[in-house]
Amino acid sequence: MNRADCSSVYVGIIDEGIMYSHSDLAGNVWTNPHDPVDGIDNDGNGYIDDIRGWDFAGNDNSVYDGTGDDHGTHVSGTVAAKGGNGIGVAGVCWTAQLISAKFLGANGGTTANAIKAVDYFTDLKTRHGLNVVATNNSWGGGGYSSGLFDAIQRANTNNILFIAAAGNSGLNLDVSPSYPASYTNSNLIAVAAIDSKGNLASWSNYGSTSVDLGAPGVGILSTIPRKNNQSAYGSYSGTSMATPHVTGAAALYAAAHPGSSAADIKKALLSGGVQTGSLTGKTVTGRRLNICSSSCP
Amino acid sequence: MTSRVRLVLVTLALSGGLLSHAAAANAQGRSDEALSALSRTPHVPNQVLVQFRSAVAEEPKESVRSQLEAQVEEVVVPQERRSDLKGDLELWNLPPGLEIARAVRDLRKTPLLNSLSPIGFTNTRPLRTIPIIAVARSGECTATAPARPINLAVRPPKRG
Repeated sequence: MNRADCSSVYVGIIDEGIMYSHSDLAGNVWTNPHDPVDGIDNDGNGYIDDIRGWDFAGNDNSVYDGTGDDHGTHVSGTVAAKGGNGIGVAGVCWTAQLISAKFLGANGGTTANAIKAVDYFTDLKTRHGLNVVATNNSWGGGGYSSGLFDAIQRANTNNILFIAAAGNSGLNLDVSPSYPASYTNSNLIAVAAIDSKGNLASWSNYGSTSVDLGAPGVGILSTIPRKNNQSAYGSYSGTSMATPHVTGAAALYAAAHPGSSAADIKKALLSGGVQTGSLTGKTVTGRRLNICSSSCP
Repeated sequence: MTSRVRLVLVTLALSGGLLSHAAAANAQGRSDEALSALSRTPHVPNQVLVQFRSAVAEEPKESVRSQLEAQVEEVVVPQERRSDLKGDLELWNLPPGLEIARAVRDLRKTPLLNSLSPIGFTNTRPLRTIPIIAVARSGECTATAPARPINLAVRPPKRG
């Protein structure tokens, strides 16, 4: 195995859809061998022909519906854009397999569909033995939902990390909880955004007891769709962009340490970070993500 | 009946009562949380998520629904598909005009329920501070649009 071999690892993208034909993502988006497109729910999970995942917002198997799926495509590229191919960008985990649970449409999503999305991955892991390590959750809003808390807990029982964006309102989440980042499940990692100098982004939420660590979230170049199905790249900022760095690192750690539990991975990511002045007193660890210290073989 | 058996029965009855009281208090705590969430966050009108306790039969479930004249839209998480010890999580449509806050209050002490909560809206809005757009063409990346900073005063930071 080389450093970037994550092909044994699956990551759930709970977001908008993914442009699976993007030239820097194609091949890293999962194809479901248990449910070919034939109009039958062959794998019995309640979703007919979920060949690349499921669109919970549209309730169909179309996980890419055009340029409106830019956010989901962007975070996907940070997790697992193909590396070493001479084009565009490289994700943190070059060959991880991405699975789309699209639940955000043009008008956002609902916590009811977020619950179904989280459970979709738990089901893939429990019934098909897919090595789903983490879900990336670069979204927020919706208030506290006991149903979503329970779904994250079911993921925890099955060793799936729930990695969540802290949010972009400049708030202290210790004082003003914001969900899903503020859920207290032990498999949740809440991520703040830092810039290239290690400064906490002025708009990033934080919290000394509720936000775990920082990761790059300012001016992040990654994959996006463009009209006429062109593969493109765009630079976005937000805790949405910081979160998939941590998700990719979780995938890399899992690939390098087969059999590690969600707790093992979380501990490695949090303890392997670099102490960072701007995050001291602003996050649980006071650290920024250090992928090699945490995840390299 | 021996005194020991009587003692066991009394203990069981008492602990059953205490458990039921604790469950009701717990449910009320969750209802308060739901009501508080209602005031702070936008939510889907006329729909709620209802978490039944484990192994509640259809007949009593229907009787709970009928208190609100609610209809099941879908079972979001069926009991048989969950590993925890809870029952069905149902999405209900409320009748027109029934406020969610009233539904939460009306059913807050129903012992068959773990919780009844509003359905929040979620979103993902990145801050596009440097919107470089480049198109990948045969092994290279070509910039096609200049940087166009967005005025953050016009587009305030949002969760993403």
